[in-house]
Amino acid sequence: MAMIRGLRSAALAAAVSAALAAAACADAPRGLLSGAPNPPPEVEQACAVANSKCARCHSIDRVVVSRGIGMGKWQMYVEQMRLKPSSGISVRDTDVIFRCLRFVEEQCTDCKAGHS
Amino acid sequence: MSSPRLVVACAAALAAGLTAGSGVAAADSLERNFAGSIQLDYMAVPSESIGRKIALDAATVEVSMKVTQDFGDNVSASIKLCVACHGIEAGMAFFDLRVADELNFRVGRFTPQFGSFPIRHDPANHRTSDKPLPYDMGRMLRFSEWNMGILPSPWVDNGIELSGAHYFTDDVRLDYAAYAVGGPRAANDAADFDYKLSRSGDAYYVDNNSRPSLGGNVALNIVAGKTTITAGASGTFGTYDPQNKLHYQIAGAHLMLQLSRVFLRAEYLARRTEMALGDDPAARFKYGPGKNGKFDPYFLKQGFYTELEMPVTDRVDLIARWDGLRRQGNVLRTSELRSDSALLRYTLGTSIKVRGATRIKLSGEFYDFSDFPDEIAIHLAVTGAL
Repeated sequence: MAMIRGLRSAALAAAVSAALAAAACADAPRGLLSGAPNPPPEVEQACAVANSKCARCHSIDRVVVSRGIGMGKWQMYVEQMRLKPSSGISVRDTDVIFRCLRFVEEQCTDCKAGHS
Repeated sequence: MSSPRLVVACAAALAAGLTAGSGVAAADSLERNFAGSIQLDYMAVPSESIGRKIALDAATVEVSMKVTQDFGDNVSASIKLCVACHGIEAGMAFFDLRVADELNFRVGRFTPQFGSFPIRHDPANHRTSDKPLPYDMGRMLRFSEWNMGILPSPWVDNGIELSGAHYFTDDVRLDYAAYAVGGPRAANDAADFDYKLSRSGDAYYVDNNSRPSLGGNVALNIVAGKTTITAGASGTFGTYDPQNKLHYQIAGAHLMLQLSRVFLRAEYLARRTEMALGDDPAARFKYGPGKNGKFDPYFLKQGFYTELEMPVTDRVDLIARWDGLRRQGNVLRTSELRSDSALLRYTLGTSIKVRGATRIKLSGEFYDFSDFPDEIAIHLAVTGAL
């Protein structure tokens, strides 16, 4: 009886998940560019890569709250993340991610005053 | 950790010594970063009048604080303090020496590479309040009867690890790791790992049987447009009793499919563990000998999870998880499990961004036990990260 209930729950979970997956794909969240008005297309592309790579291991929020640390530290972070096991980040990706982070850093004027 | 301040002081002294001694780390190449996370989780067990009888329910807190210091391009040191149900522990205290992408030496106290989930074990990095059953570290219902999962995460141990990554092309990467660590511990007459001994400073932070446990991990990552596939396998083996007689082997396989920011993850772990039969196995164990008249000293514990994680908006992520455990083999007379026991769990959850890196996690879990009444657990947590 419990097994049947379990299978029913699994089927329900699978159906809900499939529906939500479709919804998620249709309206991709903007992640690192949330709140950034009219970013250039190349930055949009770079941040799409950064969103995808960062979210493999942690939420994008962890990147957003670190704004204001300066490009030197971002360089160190990106290199550290690339070297994490199964990060999925290639050497080429590091330049792309860095391009996105530079834009995000520059857009955060409050962060430069030390209010990241 | 009996003296976390001592660990911090030692790491600082080592770091200072290395910097001063080598003379290669110029001031402008020194980079230090701090990362921290916290989760306060409340677990309710509405199917029980007093949940504490079967779980560490109600509120638990997990805090971690990590400092990493780079010394030039090739050497770094990391130290991480964790506060959780078990008190204050040193989750990391190690040095990395990177020769190339393909070769990194890690020495100290760290989590050896095994599977996929341990990389995301920090509660700020995974979307549910608790861990998948194979990696459970005491938050599952009936954790004492099951003796938790198969390899509680994070598994922290002393030793050395060689690891690296090789890019065949920009889109195809192979990661590997091989390590020797102290390994799990238990008493001489053990029938399973004793996780308290494995993390207790009372028995010193040294190997309990003069023999290291060995292990490794390999994973292949393939990127194709917005899709990434990661497939890997892990293994570790050794002995866990002071007499060096009781063997164990753990094997695992993992698969992750990423489509943009939608993730489908699956892992399987199996642990074969030798039990001490004792002088009188008939009195010690619940079941008698096999057809050959001998008691089988091994039990097999298997576990899996599959998890779908997807962002719905910039603030809301949804998670659906199905995981389970199965234990086959003889059990002690005092155990409430049988010779073949199973557990399936179904979880639906959400993680909602409040502000910055502060999130609310809400999840509901249905436990389907083969040996106990089914149960429901509800988690509500707040997490934050720096």
